[in-house]
Amino acid sequence: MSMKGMAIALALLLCATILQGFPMFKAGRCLCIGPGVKAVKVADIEKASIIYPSYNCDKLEVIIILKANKGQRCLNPKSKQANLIIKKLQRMNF
Amino acid sequence: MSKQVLDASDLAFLLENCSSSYYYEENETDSCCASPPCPQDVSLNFDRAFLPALYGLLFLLGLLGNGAVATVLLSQRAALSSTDTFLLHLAVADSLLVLTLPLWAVDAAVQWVFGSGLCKVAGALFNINFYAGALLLACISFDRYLSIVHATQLYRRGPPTRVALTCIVVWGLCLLFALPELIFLSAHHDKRLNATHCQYSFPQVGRTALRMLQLVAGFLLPLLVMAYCYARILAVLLVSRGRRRLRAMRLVVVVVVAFALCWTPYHLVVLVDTLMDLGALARNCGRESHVDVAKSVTSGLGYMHCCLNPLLYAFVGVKFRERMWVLLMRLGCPDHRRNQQQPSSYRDSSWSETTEASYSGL
Repeated sequence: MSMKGMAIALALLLCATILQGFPMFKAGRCLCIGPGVKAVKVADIEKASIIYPSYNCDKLEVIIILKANKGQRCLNPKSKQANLIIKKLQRMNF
Repeated sequence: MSKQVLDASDLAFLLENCSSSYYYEENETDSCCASPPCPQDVSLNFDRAFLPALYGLLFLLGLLGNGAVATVLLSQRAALSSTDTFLLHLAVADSLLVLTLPLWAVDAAVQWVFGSGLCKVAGALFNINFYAGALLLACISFDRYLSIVHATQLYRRGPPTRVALTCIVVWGLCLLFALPELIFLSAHHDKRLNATHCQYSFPQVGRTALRMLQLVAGFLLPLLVMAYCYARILAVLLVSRGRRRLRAMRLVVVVVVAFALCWTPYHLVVLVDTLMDLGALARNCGRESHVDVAKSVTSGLGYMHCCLNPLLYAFVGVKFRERMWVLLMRLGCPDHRRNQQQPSSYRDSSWSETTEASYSGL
C-alpha cells in the first residue's frame, strides 16, 4: 500500500475515533437488532416499555417483557401494536 | 420524568383494539422469529471489574510519575528552559486528567452518583487535559524542530514571556474545545444500561459539526505538527554523523512509537464499531459485546500514555534522573549531607549515554 493511502486510512480512523468520543461518557447501544416482531400475544405481556433515542442510539425502541420468564421481545416500533402502546403512554403523561 | 413503562394492568386496552387479522399476525410472528433485545450484562460486568482496577492503577502511576516530574522541574534553581516549561505544563495536564479517574472508576463500578455539576466539571477537565496533552506535545516537537533543524532557539533567545504566552494560548484553546462538554454533559438515567451515567445530551444536528471542529483543532492539527517536526528532525539526524545522532534518533522513534502503540489499538476497535454502525459489518449481540470489552481494554492502553509521558520525555534525560536521585536522597535522609554528593559520582556510568541527547533538547 502506498504511503498516501496509508495516511488517508489513518486519518479516517482518527476521525471515526473522535466522532465517537471518549468511552468515559458511555451511553447504551440500541438494544434491538433488526426491525423486531410485529406483535406479541397480549395475554403474554407482563410489561411494555418504550425507550427514546439517546446519544448512542437514534432509534425509538419498544421492549416487551413476557410473563412466566419467557424472556423479552423487541416490538417493531412501526407496528400497529407498538403504536397503540406509544399512544397510550403519551396519553398517560399529558 | 415521564412514564415509559406500561404494566400488564394497563394493557387491557390492547385487547379492545385487537381485530381478527391482528391475531393472525401475532401468531405468525410469535412462532417464527423471536427477536430478543441484546443482553448488556457481559460487557457491563467486565467493565465493572476491569475499569476500576485499571483506573486505580493509572491514577497511582500517573500521579507518581507526573508528580515526580513536576517536583524535579520546580526544584531547579535556574530558570526553566522552554522544553522544561512545556514538560511542566504537560505534567500538570496529565496529573489533572489522572485526577478525574477515581470518579470514572466509581461510574464504571456502580453508576454516576456525583450529580450533573460534577459530571460537567470532570468531563470538561478530562477533555481540557486530553487536548492540552496533544497541543503541548506539538509545542515540544516544534521547539526541538527549531533548535535542531534551524539551529535557532526562538523561545530561549526571546523574552521568557513568549513561552508563557504560548502556554496561555494552549490552555485557552483547550478550554474552548471543552466548552461543549461543559454545556452538554449531564447525569442521565440511561434506560438501555439501566443506570445513571455522565453522558452527552447533544442535539442530533450540531453533534457532527462540533466533533469535527474538536477533531481538527484539538487532535489532527497537533498530530500533523508533530509528524512534520519529527520527520524533519529525523532527516537532519540521518545525514549528520557521530554517536550522538543515533541516540537522539532512538528517542524520536521511541516517542512516536509509544504514541502509536498506545492509541492505535483503540482506533482499530472504534473502526470496527463504526463499520457496524454503518452496516458494513452485520450487527449481532455477541460481536457487539466483544467490541465493548475490547474498547474498554484498548482505551485503558490509550490513557496509559498519560503515565508514559514523564518516562519518555523526562526520565530518559540523564540530568533529570540525577536531580531525581538528589531529591530522593534528601527526602530519605535529610541529615546525611554527604549523600548528596553521591549522584555526581554516577556521572561516568551508563546513565550518561543519553546526556548529549537530553542536552541537545531531545
